[in-house]
Amino acid sequence: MPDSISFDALVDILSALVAQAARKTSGTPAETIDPDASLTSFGLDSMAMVELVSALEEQLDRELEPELAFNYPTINALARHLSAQPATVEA
Amino acid sequence: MIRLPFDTLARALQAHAARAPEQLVFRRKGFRNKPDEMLTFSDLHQGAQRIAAALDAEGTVEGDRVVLAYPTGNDFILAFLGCLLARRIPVPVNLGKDARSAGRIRTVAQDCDAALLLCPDPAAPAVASAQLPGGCRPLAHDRLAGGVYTPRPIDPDDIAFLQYTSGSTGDPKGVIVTHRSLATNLHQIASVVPADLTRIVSWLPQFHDMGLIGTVLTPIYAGWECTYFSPMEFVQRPMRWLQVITETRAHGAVAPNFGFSYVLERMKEGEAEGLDLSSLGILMSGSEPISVSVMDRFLSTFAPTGLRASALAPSYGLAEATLLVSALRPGLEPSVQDVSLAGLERDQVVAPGSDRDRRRVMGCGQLADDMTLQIAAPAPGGVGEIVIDGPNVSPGYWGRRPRKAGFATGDLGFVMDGQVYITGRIKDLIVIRGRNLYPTDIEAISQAATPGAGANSAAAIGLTGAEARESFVVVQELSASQLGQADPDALRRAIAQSICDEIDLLPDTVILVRSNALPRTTSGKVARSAARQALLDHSLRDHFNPTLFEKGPCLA
Repeated sequence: MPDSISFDALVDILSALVAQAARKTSGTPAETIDPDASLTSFGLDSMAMVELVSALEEQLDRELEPELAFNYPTINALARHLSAQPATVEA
Repeated sequence: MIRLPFDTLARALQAHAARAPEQLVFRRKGFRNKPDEMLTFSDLHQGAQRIAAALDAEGTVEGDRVVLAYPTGNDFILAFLGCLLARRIPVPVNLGKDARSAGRIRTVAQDCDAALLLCPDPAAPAVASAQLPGGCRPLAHDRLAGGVYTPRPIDPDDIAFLQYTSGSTGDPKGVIVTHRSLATNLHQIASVVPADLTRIVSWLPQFHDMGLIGTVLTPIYAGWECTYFSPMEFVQRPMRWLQVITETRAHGAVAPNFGFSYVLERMKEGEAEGLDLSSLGILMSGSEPISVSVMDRFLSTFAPTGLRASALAPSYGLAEATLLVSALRPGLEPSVQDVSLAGLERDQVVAPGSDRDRRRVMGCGQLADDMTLQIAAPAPGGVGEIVIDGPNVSPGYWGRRPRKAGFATGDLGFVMDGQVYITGRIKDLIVIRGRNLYPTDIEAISQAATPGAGANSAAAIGLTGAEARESFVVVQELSASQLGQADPDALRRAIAQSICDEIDLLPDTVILVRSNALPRTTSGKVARSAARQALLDHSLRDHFNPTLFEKGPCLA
């Protein structure tokens, strides 16, 4: 089982993934991405929200709920949630 | 007239529950250590009766409309059947994960004058912020209890349920499905699959026609077993679809073109290993234009896993026909016609003059039993609007005047060698991942998001890109003063964001133009088809960034 990832490291990973998704969808510049702003405000539709979770699963090598980004809808909320969880390795 | 094995779905449920009470009918697949949730025919029948009894206890009466806002799951199926047994009219809607679906829920509840909205949790954002009309009470599924079940006779000509896949936000249209049209189409669907089919797999939304009719109600009617999961779980890991087919040795599955192309897009090296698709007798594609190249690639990618070419079954359907209109029959391989694009523009089916002029169109199979189909074509053998009729075709929309003979689908096509070919649409309807979007709704959002923009200053245009990938662009006119002041990128983002907030889909491109740059009809309305043509031949370009649309919307 890998060590759980720190909040700061998660914010970095998430910011990069959200920036990538937002560039693809609404063209939001990376420097304007606020970690406390709602993910939907970067032009992420429902499908993009689930794709974000997929990309995160790959980076963290752990299985996540598809609804995660809806339940924790900002970068900081997601990072707080994930850093508080023990990492479970995919079976 | 065809003879139906059961004249209503309720009778089929009763018969299967009596004949084979312990037979599995639904397996809600669990991922991430969650167990599968099973329903046998007996569970289904008893559970539906409990809900029917509770609907009496809740003070609703026969004929009341009951909006069902559920996530993918067995509870939705039980609630739907409970309504049918109690002679309430269920009205399935999409329960989104956030408040974005609230507007649509309110519109539907209003249009059908619903008495009740059932959902897992009335405090969920999509329900709580829906501002339901006064007569419509939200109720949690778990609160449905009590009452005594009273069996009720069902007249096949009564309304079974309403399908709201038609109509814009301002003008919603609930397709009436009678018990007879439902039973007819379920039998028609069961008749176009291989005779030995008993197990299917699905990830389609249950509230929408293809998922509901094809993968929830047909298994009940025909006595099949359906293993299913949610559309989100599919998007999270598209290979789950093929893995679950392998696990359950499924005989059938169905998806729109999007599902096939998405699997190919997301597939990684080595992911096909361990798959065995040799059990599939039918893999149906429908409810969206079908891309020949996507189907070809899907088949060649998965042929090594045992997928047979004759399993691929292109189909054509729409909510107004309950679902299915035509499908390729078992054992036949899909057929493709190479036709001239220039010919199609003149409503003619002719051989292409060159490679550039070539359009490959896949046949959507033969008409369902007991249906008629006509091509309203200017010349015999040409392309025209598809007009259908039959016992499965809806008598009309809720609260509207009943339909006269023949339903004009708005789809364009031709018939060749007994197969239906779809070439496009007459209506400006935008169809994305099986969802019908109305340009007027999107245009109103764009106009509201643009400072100083008046009515009739935008055009939302659907485009079909490579591999039948559907997208849309928005062209917004700006006044002279706005052209001088606007930060174009910020405005483009604001428009896209507003559209995403309201309809949960992003435009592919937002194009800003000066006032009166959009082509108009003689009555001054925006002419969308002329605007589409102007975009494609680059005579209509973005004011700030003329190369914005140069390569087309989604050919990357």
